[in-house]
Amino acid sequence: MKKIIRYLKYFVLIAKMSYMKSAMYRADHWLRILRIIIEFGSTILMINVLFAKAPSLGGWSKLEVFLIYSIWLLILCLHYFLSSDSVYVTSRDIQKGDFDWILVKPIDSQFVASFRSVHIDNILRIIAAIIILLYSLSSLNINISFITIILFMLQIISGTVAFYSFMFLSVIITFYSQGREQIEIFDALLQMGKYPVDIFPKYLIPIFWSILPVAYFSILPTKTLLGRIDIVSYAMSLVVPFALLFIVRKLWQYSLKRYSSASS
Amino acid sequence: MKRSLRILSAFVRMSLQESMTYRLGGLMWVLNGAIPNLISMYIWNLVGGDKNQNIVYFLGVILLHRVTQTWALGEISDRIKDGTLAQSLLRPYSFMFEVFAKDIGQKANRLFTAVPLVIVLWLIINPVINLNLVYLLLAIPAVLLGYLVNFYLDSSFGLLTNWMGEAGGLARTLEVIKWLAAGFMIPFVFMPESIRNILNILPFRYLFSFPLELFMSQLSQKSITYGYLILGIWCLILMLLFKWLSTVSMKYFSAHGG
Repeated sequence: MKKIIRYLKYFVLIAKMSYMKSAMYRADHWLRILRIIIEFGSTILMINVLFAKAPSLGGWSKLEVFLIYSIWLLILCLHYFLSSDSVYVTSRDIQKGDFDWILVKPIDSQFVASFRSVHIDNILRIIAAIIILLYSLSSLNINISFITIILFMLQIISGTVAFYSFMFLSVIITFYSQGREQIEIFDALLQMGKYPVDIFPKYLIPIFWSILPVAYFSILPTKTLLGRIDIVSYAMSLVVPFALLFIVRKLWQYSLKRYSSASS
Repeated sequence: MKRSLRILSAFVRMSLQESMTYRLGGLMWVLNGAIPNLISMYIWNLVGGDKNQNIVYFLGVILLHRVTQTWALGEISDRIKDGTLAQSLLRPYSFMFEVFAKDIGQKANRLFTAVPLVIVLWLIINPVINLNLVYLLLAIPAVLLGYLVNFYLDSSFGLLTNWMGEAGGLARTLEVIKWLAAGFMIPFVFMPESIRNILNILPFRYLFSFPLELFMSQLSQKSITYGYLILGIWCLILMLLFKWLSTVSMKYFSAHGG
């Protein structure tokens, strides 16, 4: 328990520092918010334009696609709120040989590497995601029970774990590739989650359920809300993300041995 | 003029050598840029429209994005932030030579990967399209002017770091606007008419949608004339804006390091 409190205190400190840093440049801070609004508006526009041309997308209606998008956005923003650009900063440190200062800290290196800063602006995106989620649910006329909400919340947690594990894998690759560009590719691949992944070619589906865990933060939580999920898929949505986290943890520990400092 | 060209070519050579030291990086960046386009291509093909046109459009975006891409905003902003601009200002040539040359070097590196990638994808997907040589030739100046518009736009925004102190938010906002307004996410022809009318008079469409529409022979003679007129006007406005900003904003430049 003491250990958890210590880690929480560290996280709160990081959050405070991040907020102070972003408040230093107010104009830039407001521009970041403007960017969030434009980004959000453009995806809404894109979904509307798509559905102006076709009544459904691979069997999913417009409101259902909005639901998928809102859940994907929620998990994406939860990840970026908690972890911000930590993957980029840590990869840069590994590449430049500045990673030593993380290793000498008296707390777990993966924890420090994962939570370098907190992106406060993402709270706005989280609120926007919740608004679309509620709007889609009310427009779809779905009655959601208390149990469904609990099951869904568990999937949000496991989905965030899946998202984090996949992104953190790109940091681990830096130990071997010495390049950082893979992070952008990983990020681009996760963008697929904002669409119903079952519309993509059949041979890609097993990948979305395993190595590229997009299904866990898009269609599976959506299916839970729509009451269309089976027990096996639900169990997988809770187990696979944590299995991925375990693998990533082991890979991190193994890869740390390969790190050699390039600085003093 | 001769001297300027000599300086420029030296910088381009240097920048090209620098970017070629990590060739895999160029490949990764091109793949990273191509993935959203390929996803969009697949989705737009699912909802309908002319599949061949969609394929050519998105393959074209992969390539043109690299041709008209610029790194000027980040480059100028970084120099202002870390104070290294002070060193550049002491040199007997404009620091914009270095910025422009770095752009060309990076671009060449990306194109070394992007061109073969697009050719391979074209051969695999094999879209059927009738290309018109006249339209093809008309697209070339549009691409070059599109790059200049992007370059001056980014450079002008980069200079704002002198007032703002940080331009990360500005760069990302501008990038998102370009993604939407230039036809990266939604092809221009699919946009609702009201939005299309607004985008027609903004500079973003001319970064790659306009040259692509020309390449695909989608425009009437009237639209081509109108497009070139707007493109020329924006090029001039942004060039003058940059010149004005580079004079005014430098009064606010204070080097912290360098």
